[in-house]
Amino acid sequence: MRILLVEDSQQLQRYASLGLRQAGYVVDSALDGIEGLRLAKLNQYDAIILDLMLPGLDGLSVLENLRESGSDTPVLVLTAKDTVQDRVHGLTQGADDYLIKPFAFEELTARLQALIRRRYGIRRSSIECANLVIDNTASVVSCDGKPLELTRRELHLLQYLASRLGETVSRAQIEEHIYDRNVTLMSNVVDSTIYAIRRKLELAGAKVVIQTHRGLGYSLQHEQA
Amino acid sequence: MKSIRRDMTIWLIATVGVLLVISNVSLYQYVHHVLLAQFDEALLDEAVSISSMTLQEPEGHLEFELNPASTPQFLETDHPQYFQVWTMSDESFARSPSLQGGDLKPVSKSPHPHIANIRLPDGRLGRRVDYRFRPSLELVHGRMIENPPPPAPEMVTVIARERESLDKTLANIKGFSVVASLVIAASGALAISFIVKRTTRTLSGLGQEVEAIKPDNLQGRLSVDNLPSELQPIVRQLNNLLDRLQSAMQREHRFTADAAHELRTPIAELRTLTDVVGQWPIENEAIGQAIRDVKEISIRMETLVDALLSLSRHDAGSLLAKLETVDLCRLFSEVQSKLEPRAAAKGVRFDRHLPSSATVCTDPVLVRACLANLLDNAITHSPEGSQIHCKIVVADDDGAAVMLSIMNPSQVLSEADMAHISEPFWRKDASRTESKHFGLGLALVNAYAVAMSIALSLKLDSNAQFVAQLQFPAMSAMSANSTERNIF
Repeated sequence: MRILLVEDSQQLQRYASLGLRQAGYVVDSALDGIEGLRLAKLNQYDAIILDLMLPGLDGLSVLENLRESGSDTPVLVLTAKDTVQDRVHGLTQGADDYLIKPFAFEELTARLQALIRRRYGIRRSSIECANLVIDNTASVVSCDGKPLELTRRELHLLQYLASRLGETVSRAQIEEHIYDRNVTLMSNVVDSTIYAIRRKLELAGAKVVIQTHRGLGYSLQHEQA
Repeated sequence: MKSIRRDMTIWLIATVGVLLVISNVSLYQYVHHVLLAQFDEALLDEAVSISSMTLQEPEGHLEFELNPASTPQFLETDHPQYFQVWTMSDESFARSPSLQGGDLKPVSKSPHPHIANIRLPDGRLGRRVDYRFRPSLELVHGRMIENPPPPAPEMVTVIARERESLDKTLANIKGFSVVASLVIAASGALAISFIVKRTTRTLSGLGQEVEAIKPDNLQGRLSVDNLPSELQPIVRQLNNLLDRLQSAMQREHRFTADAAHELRTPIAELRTLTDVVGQWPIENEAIGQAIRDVKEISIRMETLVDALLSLSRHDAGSLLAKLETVDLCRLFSEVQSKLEPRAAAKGVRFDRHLPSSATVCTDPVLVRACLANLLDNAITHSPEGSQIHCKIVVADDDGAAVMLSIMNPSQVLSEADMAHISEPFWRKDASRTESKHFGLGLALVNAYAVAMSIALSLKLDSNAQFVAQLQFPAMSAMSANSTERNIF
């Protein structure tokens, strides 16, 4: 899952990004509102964490601008403003959730997951697909109850495909959601990662397959009997 | 609970009641005295009249002539009057038929009439007069005789009459007085209660208005219209106090909220850092970075807390300046040199106009903090490549007053901002997007300036230059308060 973190505090951005990456997210970050808005419009994010007090362009203006441009990306507002009016104002401006500083990092990730699940219509924190279970909270994949060893990239890609179970996802979409903007992608990086996942699923006896739709992309499907 | 209305009512009723009793008793006593005096006077007149009936004949012997037709009260009737004329040797000379052989003995032979109460022969209460007199010589054909006999000896007439009619009149007056007093007291109490209630209605209304003003909502004000002139200054003063209280509470709430708000971000940074590093341990370079981050966050929090403490001391009046004789030019150069690298990094230059020295009597620590804040602000808000003009002017040769000015171009400030610029946590950018500054710098400069009796002026000039001026007081004014006299 690809997240945009717009936060002007360098320390908060540094450690929140680190934690989110460790939790399995792909994180882009911006230190001011102008850069944050630019990135939000440029890329497809699964969620945006947005501080309200930003240099350049304040968070509410970023949010307003984003919604006016037609973006429905879930936005978690992160701010030190704690009055009811502030929260109501933020939510009416188009925010999907509100988290007041200081916060427990666990709460941030939990709210983020809830936002993403809501976006993709998933009610539970784990996705079950045949005998494969993808636990988004623990970032663990198991097949018939046995854990499946996946690299972080493989895990992210499988999570992304599972969240769109049955849907065809383009390579560009995968690149956008799995790799942050600091990574220089090689042309076959998605193909090679898909190949590696397929092998591991097959070895584990998973009753799901990743199908290639030539010229369109990939989809995660139940294995045909 | 004490009540003005109740106290006033009770005291007024009690006072009026006591005055009523005193006045009625006094009036009764006066009436009693007057009526008794009139009664006694009439009795004495009768005694004189009876005495005048004892006459000395030209031959010398005494005669008593009573005309029963003109004095029926002395006859044997149901309620008669009595008299008896005595010689000085206590021999009865004449008596009224009503005595029926009984005696009405004299109790006093004083030359002055003696009046007293008596129990009459018929058992009734009465008054008596003992009247001493000398019988007159009877005239012959209306003329004195040529050779009168020696004067007759003196005699005493005792006359008595009942006093029941007098006592009845007095009792009637007393009864009427008591009834009238009770009626007046009752109607007076009602009138007093009504008047007091009406008079204190304004106070009750004022009390309800005051009660309606809650500590958590000081919006309401007391109505001055229709108030009695005695209460108007009190209510106006109360309204002024409410204005000040509301303003102080709003300022305090804003200050507390701002302080809490400013602390939230560094706390969030520390919390996130510890949460993340605790869950996913870091190694090597990242550990060094984390330590540097913790240190930087801590310094920022320390700076904020120090500033808040200084402002709190200023508000409490406990921010005291330790005055010394200081060369302001030297102090300014020191502070400026420390900030020079930051200015240079931004391409900002200092344009200095300083005399060789400028001696002031001030607190060097607080002045250094003021200069650091003002210069740091000037660097922060000056556009890249601009100039900050710094000037120190000594007003006269005695160093009586020194003016320090720091002037920098400002692209964002407006004239309206000048009213708020030294308020704690005020920032031009209401969203507080600048995380390294808390908006306390100028508030601190203001607090320190007040503590050192320095006149601080913050203004925009006609060329949109932000000008901060510190006018140091004359040395003569400050030296009296100086505790130390070291050349800094």
